[in-house]
Amino acid sequence: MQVAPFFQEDTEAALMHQVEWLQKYAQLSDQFFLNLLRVDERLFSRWRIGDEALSEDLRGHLREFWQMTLHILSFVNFDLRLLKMMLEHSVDAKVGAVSSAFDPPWLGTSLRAYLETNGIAGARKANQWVQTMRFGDPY
Amino acid sequence: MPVNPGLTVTIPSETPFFRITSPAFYTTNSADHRKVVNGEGAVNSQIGARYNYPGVRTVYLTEDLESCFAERLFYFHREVLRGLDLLRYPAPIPPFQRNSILWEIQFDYALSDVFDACIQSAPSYFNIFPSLMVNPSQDYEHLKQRRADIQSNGYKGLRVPSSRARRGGNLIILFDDQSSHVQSIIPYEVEFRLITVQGGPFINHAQDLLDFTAGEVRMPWIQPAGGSAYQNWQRVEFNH
Repeated sequence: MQVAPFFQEDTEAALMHQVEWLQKYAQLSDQFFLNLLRVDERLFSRWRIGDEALSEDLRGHLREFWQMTLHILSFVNFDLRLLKMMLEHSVDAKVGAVSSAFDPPWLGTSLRAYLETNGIAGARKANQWVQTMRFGDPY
Repeated sequence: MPVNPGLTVTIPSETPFFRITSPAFYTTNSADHRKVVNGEGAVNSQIGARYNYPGVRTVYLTEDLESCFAERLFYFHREVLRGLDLLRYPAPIPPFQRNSILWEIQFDYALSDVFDACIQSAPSYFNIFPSLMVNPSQDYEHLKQRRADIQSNGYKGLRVPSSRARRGGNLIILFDDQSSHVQSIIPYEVEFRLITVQGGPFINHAQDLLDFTAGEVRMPWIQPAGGSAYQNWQRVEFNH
């Protein structure tokens, strides 16, 4: 049940491991990260092989995205099948006609598509949503 | 207003405290385990918690095992129910059994200047409304505001009753990063599961009736001192 050290580290090497883990277990592509981070493909590719550094802003965005991932993993009891479902499942916008504090911000689309469209601002909203689901009081 | 020593408690070093986290903290690098008490989760939180505004460093601990389990079960119940509510979209069904890590922590120094709200006259000293302190159903802005006031008066932490523990038990809420003061930190794998009003495992959300005031806890591998009963599933009651 133990996890790799990079789960709790935020070094450049740990960020690379986190991206690698997300690609392997959540099946997020290079293109997903390019869209999430709004980063140039050449820079991202060179960073992946250690030939170039990301800016502090981009490293911060990756850390925030990893935090969101950890919160979702905890919510789904580290069930990777459920993690992928959370990412890929399109949330039907028509059903929740009256808005609720617990409406996912990606209503009408999937979390993955929402993150690609909205970048790190979307990851922040998704992270806030999962924290509210788990610990928040909407009253 | 200086710290009032008559309303504080000093907790000796090497007193065991308990905290529960996600397995994400249980890395193979034990040097990182002390991050469990750095309060960084509260710093990064966008929503805050019972005794902290968003972004305010806070370390939540309990003095005993059962309070730790009761607090965790409360949140587990609530997030599963909220997850079930999401099925109207539809969405993935949240798991009814959850793995977590219980941490037994001892510090290498005595915790002093901890405001003890468990002393009968203490809540009124900082205008804390006792009803809000012990009401389990939700968190209150009042408590976050009172904590901020207590901290600004020089106290290093807060001792309060657990609102979810059915048989008493207290929380220790520390305002500073404690990761450099860890004498020992021991992880225990712990499992929680929801149960029905009949006492069996809650497995079918469409048919089973959830027990809202109890769940079950198990630590099948190793248990801390005083926790041997949890080797098998053990009923833990809590306030909801």
